[in-house]
Amino acid sequence: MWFFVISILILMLLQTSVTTLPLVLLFFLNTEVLSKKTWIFPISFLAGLVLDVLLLNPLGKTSLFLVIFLFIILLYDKKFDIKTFHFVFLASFIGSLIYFVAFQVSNILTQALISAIIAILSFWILIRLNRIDTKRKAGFNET
Amino acid sequence: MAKKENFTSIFLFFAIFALIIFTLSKFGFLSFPASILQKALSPFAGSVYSAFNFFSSPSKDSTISKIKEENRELVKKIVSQSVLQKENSALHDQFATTSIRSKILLPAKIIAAPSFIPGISSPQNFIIDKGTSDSVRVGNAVIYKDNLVGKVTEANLYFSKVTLLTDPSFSLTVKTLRTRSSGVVKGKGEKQMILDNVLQSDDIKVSDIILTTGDQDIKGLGLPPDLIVGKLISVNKKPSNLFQKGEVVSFLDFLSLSTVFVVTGY
Repeated sequence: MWFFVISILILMLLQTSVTTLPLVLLFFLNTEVLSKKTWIFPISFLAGLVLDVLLLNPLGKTSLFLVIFLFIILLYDKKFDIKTFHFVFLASFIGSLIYFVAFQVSNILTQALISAIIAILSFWILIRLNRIDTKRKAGFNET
Repeated sequence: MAKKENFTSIFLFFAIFALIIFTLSKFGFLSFPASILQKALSPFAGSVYSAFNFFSSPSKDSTISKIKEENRELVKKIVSQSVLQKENSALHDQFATTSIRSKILLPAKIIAAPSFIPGISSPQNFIIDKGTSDSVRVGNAVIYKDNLVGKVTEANLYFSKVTLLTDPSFSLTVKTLRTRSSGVVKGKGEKQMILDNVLQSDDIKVSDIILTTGDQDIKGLGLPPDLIVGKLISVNKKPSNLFQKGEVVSFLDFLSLSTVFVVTGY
């Protein structure tokens, strides 16, 4: 839990002060894919508010985006296995792309691609830190 | 099935809540609590930005930094001298067109400057620690040593968002220092900007210094005239085109800025 809270705080500060990449969105995506818990909604709602406050966006804009995005991810979970690298790559790419359009960020394709790569790498790291059954589901060949 | 209904209801609750907050915020009902929250949180973001800027920017004592600084000073002097010459000439011509500029400059610290790749690519906007309580208004120009940095596009009680002139949403009318040819500069999202709408008959060439034409209104909102936008680095003149085009680059290194000045009036 502490790892989650500290990571979110660090990523929020980085996203508001030094980079335009949606680090918080990517972290929530990975957490949602791995945990599939509903407590992610209130956390993402609050994180979105903090991001809006620090980036001088209209309050609630990022919260709304994050909540809808995570809801769609959970909906996909009902039909497909979402604990795969393909899904994380596609979801992070499309999610970032829509985020950049909604928040009028330039170089959207390059930034979305970089975001997707970051998402994949962090997904891999989280799996390594996490459980073996997740590794197996994600396509790791454990011997 | 029960689980699905559960997360749907939680989603609906937070989505509707976020939508209500968004609507209230859009109509300005939440500007005061947002300002207070930002005042409380900004020191953390400011510290992160300062730390990152310290480690990513090159040493202030390096030769390149000194040369860039000298170059900026020289360009500033050239522009001032040119403006003075023109004013002098106008005074000689029966006091024709003289405009006394007394800028009210408000120093502001940059607390955030998100960019694509931190420390490498140009930031897209700045968050500064001055807001409406310091007389900053949306539309105020933001400068650094007579070089245009951008324009205030959002402001709350204590903080403001500055859209940089390199941002794709930013455009302004400009003129060249040498021939007074007018055109429009638009941001590209990178370090370069596009100079467009320059008549084919106008004389522009590489290394021309580009200045703002000025669009301040009676309240002092907008861009003052004769601020340095940058230098022309390429010209594209095709007879088949209606206008000439070019590429402009600013004299400023936006990554190394830590303080800027808001022009709050005449």
